[in-house]
Amino acid sequence: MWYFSWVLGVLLACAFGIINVLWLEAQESLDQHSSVLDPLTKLISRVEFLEALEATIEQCKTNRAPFSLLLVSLDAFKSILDQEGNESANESVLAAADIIKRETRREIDTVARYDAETFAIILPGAHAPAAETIARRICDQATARLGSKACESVVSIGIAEYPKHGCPEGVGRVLEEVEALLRATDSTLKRAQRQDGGALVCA
Amino acid sequence: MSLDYETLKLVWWLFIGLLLIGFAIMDGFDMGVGTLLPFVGRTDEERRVLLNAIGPTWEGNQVWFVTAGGALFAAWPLVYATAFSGLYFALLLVLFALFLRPVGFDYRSKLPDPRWRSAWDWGLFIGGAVPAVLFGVAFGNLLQGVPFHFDADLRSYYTGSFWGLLNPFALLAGIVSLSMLVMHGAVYLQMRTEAAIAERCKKAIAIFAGIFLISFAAAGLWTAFGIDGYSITSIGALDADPNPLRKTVEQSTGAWLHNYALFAWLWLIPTLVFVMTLLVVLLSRIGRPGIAFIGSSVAVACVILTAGFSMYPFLLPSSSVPSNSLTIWDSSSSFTTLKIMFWATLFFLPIVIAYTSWVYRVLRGKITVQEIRDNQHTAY
Amino acid sequence: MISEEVVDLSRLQFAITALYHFLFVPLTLGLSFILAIMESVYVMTGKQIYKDMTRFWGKLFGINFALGVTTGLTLEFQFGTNWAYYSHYVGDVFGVPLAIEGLAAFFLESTLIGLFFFGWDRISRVQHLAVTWLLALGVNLSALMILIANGWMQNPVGAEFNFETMRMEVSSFADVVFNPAGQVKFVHTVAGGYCTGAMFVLSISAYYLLKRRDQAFAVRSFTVAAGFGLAAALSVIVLGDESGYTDGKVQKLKVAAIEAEWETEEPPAAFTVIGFPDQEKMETRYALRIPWVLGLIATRSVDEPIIGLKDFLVQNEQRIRNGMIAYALLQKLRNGEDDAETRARFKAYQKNLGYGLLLKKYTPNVIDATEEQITMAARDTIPNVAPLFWTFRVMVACGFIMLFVFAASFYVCSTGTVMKHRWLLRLALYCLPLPWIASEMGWIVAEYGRQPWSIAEILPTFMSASSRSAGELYLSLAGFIGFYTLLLVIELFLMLKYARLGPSSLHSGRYYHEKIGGAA
Repeated sequence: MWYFSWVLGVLLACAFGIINVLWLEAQESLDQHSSVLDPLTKLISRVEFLEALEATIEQCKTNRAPFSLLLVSLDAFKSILDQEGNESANESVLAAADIIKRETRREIDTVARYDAETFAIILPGAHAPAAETIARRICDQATARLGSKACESVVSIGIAEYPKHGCPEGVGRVLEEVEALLRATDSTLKRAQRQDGGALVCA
Repeated sequence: MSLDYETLKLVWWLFIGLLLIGFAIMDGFDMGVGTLLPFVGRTDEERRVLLNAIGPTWEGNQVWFVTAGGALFAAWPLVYATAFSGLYFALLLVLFALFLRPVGFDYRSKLPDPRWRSAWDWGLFIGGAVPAVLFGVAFGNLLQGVPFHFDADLRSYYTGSFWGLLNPFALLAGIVSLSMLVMHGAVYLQMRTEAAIAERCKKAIAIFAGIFLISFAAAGLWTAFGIDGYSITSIGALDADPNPLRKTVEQSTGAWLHNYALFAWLWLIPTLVFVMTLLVVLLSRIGRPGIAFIGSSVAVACVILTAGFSMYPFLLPSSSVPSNSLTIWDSSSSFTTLKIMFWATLFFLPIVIAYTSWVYRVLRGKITVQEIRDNQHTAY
Repeated sequence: MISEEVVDLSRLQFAITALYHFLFVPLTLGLSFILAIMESVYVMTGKQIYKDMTRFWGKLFGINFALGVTTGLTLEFQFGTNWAYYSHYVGDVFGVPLAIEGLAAFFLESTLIGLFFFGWDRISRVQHLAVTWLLALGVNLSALMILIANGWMQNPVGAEFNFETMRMEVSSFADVVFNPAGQVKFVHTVAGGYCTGAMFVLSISAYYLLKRRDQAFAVRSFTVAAGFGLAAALSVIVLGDESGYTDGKVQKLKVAAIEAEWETEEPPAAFTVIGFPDQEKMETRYALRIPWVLGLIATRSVDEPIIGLKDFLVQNEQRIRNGMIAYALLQKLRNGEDDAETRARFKAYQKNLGYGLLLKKYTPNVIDATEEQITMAARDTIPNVAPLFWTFRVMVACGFIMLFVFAASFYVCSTGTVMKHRWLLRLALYCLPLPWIASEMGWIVAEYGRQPWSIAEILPTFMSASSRSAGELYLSLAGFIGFYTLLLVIELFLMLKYARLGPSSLHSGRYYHEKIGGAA
């Protein structure tokens, strides 16, 4: 009896769809993609970040909207690791991640753990001045929370803006632009780190 | 009265009439509002008020038409086949005009560009006015007879042209239908809107009620004294298997009044048209559009009944070979099919009416410009 | 007789409008249930995001539904306008499901769709959920009645010819409703629709995930689509196989044509995976064949033969001869020589009347057909094999690819690794057209494979058309093509715009583009 098998089939398929979602929702596996996240900070890792950067550039090309890229280096990391050990170093990373998460917009901005002591942030829609304001806040917060440790600078931040620094000669290929943008940000970070007292430098 | 074949043939005449009346009342006001849209709505927001007064329910209303078509197919296949293939371009014109409605409603307010919106507004105007006129034209042609005949295999041949359908009498019937539906639509709008729009509706009601009554009276006089009616002079058993080639038919002026001569109480129906229309104008003036809407619905129903009773038992008279005319006795489906359809209609139609009423109850109330502003991304 | 040109134009017009209508129907069928699933989760968990999902996908549903309604009207009109003789000849049977479709299903969906869009604040959550489910039910009941009608064209059961009225009349309505051809057609078609809806949601969600926008929204939509789609794809393939079995019983000739079975083989028959069928020589060149498979699918046995097309040709020639006798008897009856013996003889031969009518193409009198004309008419009974062979294989291939995509998507959803498999997201995005290709191919297999009949073995297609002129048909065809192209361009434009915009189009302030706008 075909009609009967249809009724049964539809009920099963719909029930299957509903239960599957409810189950995954209960597992909380719809919100985190655990395997791609950095286990400590629950931020995305470098590989993921590069892909996200690529996607953002593509989007900005179509939308003609700018975005800013920030590299935040936790300068205090090395000295804390040397003086107080692994545990405290991890704590300082967590604290920095927490500050960054709070200062950025959920679901809009991309925050990643770029390497052991560096975070990367993509701020879609933000020009360099807007990014600078956010960077300033991160810097102040970090100094307030981690600054008591005896070290000269807590964080340094490099900022670059797309398309200004990504493709100075007009439209380039996405991968080249990723590279150019990262290079620009990295060099501003280096300049920031060279300045005494840490802080931020815009490209 | 048992359900024999002859009775069922008669019952189906009533059912199709009922479905047509349902269509004229329910989708009629949608077509009326569509026609009024560019004139009563002066600004974009006002037009959106009009659209949202009918937007959530017009789709269900159109199904009266689809179902009437389906029922025509099932109950009188020969009428469906002959009329639809004969009136080919008229039907396609209705169809193309109706295309503009679903897309018009759904797509119009999805983009803010004023040129896009105004283009769809005129699309919706066409989608309302063109079918309203053509349905009247179709009735006008039914009353005069359509040039067609059958061969021995019952294949129908239409020998007229598209322009032949647009003769003076048919165009007058088109005016009757358009003015009636515009009046009906304006009454509905007055009920669902307020302030400036409702005031404009009052004016429209008065104007179109006038046109409607004059043209209806003119069409009545023309039918009585101007055009040829048809009457059956001999026919086989009424409960026989339908075969439209076995009867004789005579054409004569005034034949369409025979039924009214036989049953004097039938005069009540056209009289009601006049009484109700005058009441509608009065009630709308004193600000009681709710009751006025019932009045205009009765008027619409009575117009269809007037035409139906004068043609009875003819459905589609043939002007070229009158004996090939289709009547309710010799063009219906088989006994079995009529029975199945009878019970299906008896079962489903009350359910349809029940949930339609519920939906209207849920969506009742006046639509205001403020409401459109608050819901500008979700409203039509 | 009507000219061949008019018949061909009428067929072309019907094919174009039906194929066009069928661009929208499958999506409506599938998306309606997906909306119901999303809203059920919303009512069960109370999470706003599921309401947003229902509303956003509902918006796309609305854009699609509008054109589905528009183009469906055309088809109902066209039976009357272009296929008048068909409408007269079978309206007694065929019209009933169409009328009931209006009463029982189309009313339901059309009345409730307004409430679905505008009832959110006016009725309770549970009431609204009920509306959504009833909407889905209405949509599917619509498909049911239409496919019962269509199934009857393929396998006309429960009806008898009445010489007095010159048409087919219902003898058992239950047989029409429970027609095996109609039943499998219904389940296979709606399951195909469910795949379409699921693939639509899956692909567009994959697009958001690739762009890393509104991930929470997209992952959930993706998950719903993957679960529902997997179940649907499995059933479409299982039911497709079952419909092969049913067709093997009731539409043997069509199966033989689809499979390019020219000869009757020693059972169980081999399955031709691929090859080049040659209609003239009645053979398939470069055929790659797997033994046994076709016999198993089509007969579920190892000893029942599958009759080849060449044998059908012989059978049908005989039936045409019998049809000539039936036609001669019919003429007698219609001319009033209505005696018991003629009636009895006509009853015996009436099953072949349709085959006799095939001769009308060559000689209007039927009974004076020459041997050559009989051979030509018999040749007509074999549909054009190559298009059927190919469209069928494309359809099946699409089905299996979709099954793979749904299964893989379901797996990554369950393991929470959606974002890790970007290749799958890309694949899902590129697979967007597949369900439409499959649906259109399926329509061609079913309806082109029915030729030369409009009602299998009862009424030839060329007799069914209305008596209009070719000029009129060119005009209406041009009108349809022009209008439909315009509508399709507008629809795709809106669809793309809203799909790109994503849930931001709800203007709730919770989604990507609005936040970007606010932050810049």
